[in-house]
Amino acid sequence: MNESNLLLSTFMQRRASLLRYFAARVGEAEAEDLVQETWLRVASQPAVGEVRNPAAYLYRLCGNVMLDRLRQERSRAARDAEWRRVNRTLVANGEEVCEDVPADNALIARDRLRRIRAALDDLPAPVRRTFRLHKFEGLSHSEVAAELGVSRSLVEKHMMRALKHLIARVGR
Amino acid sequence: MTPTVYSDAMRDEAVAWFVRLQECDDETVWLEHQDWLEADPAHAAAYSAVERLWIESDDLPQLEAAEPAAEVIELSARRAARFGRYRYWLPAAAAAAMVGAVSLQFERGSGETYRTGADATRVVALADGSRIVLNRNTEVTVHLARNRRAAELASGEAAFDIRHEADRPFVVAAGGREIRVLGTEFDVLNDAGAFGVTVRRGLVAVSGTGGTAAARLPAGTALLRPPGARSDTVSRANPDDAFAWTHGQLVYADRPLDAVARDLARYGGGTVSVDPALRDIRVTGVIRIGDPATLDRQLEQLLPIRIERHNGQRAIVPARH
Repeated sequence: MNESNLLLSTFMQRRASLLRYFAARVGEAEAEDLVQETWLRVASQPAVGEVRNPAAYLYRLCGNVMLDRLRQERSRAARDAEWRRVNRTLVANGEEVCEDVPADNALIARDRLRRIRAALDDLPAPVRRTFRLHKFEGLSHSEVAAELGVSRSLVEKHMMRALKHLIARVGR
Repeated sequence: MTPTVYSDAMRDEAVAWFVRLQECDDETVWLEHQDWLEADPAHAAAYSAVERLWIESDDLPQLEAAEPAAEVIELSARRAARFGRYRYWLPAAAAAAMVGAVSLQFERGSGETYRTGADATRVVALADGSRIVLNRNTEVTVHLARNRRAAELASGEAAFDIRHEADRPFVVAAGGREIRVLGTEFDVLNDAGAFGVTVRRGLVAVSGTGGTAAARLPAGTALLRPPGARSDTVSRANPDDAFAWTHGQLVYADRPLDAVARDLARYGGGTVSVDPALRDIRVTGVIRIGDPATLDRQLEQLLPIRIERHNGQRAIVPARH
């Protein structure tokens, strides 16, 4: 059996568990859609290389589906804001129709980004460096570990420390 | 979801789960995570907050590209400390000065030069584990020093897959500009006045020229400067298209016919002109790289055009009806 068949059959076996995972994350109503999205990704995937644990691989795929869902929400919000900004001039009597001033959303996002950057600068250099290598240069935890000559568990500790600090500083 | 209140402790737990699960190959850990999520609805809210911050941070390289000023002041101190590597990215003036330094290094005659002709590409494996794929009609000189790695793309196009070394940045000089990289994969075009950089992985800094500022390109973006243009265009790009030639293909997604003509000239030699009536044609399609006649035939099948040949020069004209 090749890898993608293995993934598909594992998906079939674990379907209920994956549904339960999404239900715990976003509620039952949306969970089915996200399982479907995950299925599409498994089915449309070109032959993947070696998958050590297909079930864990599927869960990681679910995690990515969740992240991409958030990304889409963000870009949709940005598009809507842009649409309102452009269309506001069409209001005939000159009154502001939108309650929230859309430009504010972009400003707020920008401001939060600046705060994330500032918060990152608070951290000790090795923590900051670990975060950047992993987050922005796409190195895996083990690659970062090899790069910095430290253990993988220290990389995870640094990542946790960085994220805890960023969330505490920037808030939800 | 409706916002749910969660404690600081939950937030820390959520962070720990997020980091642990990122590269987790153990199903039992995922099942434990499921239990944690179901133990309290606030857990899911805390976990989502971590994800949201993670996604928000995606844009940090763009912010730093747009607002680098505050950081430049610390440059020398940071370099000495060898940390905070992103501060290495230089503003235009400083980067321009460094282009000179690169050229100087090459003038001393060190380094290895690799060339390809019109008929084949070539893969060069470097001693540091990096790889360079040379497109046809390309010349690259590589110099690996103890504290610095450099390559000069004299002409043509090359795809670089650079192994990350914190202490030895890799610098590519091309078209009077400098491309600074860490561990990353990107394509550089420096041909007949056209200059382009497409990044597949990592982050790349491209120095400015004359009046233009330096640009930082995250993965999935491309910087293009067509011949004769005065400024760069930076846009989202599918890196697979830019790298397609390494698999013997040319992939175009809504590209002007002029760009295709430049490729025809590059692969087939000679010059290729475009009839003014065809200037507005945009090309989307895949062409298999081969000898000039094969290239021409494929393009003629793809578009409402004909390619005429006179004395080694080719002209793209509208197809006869």
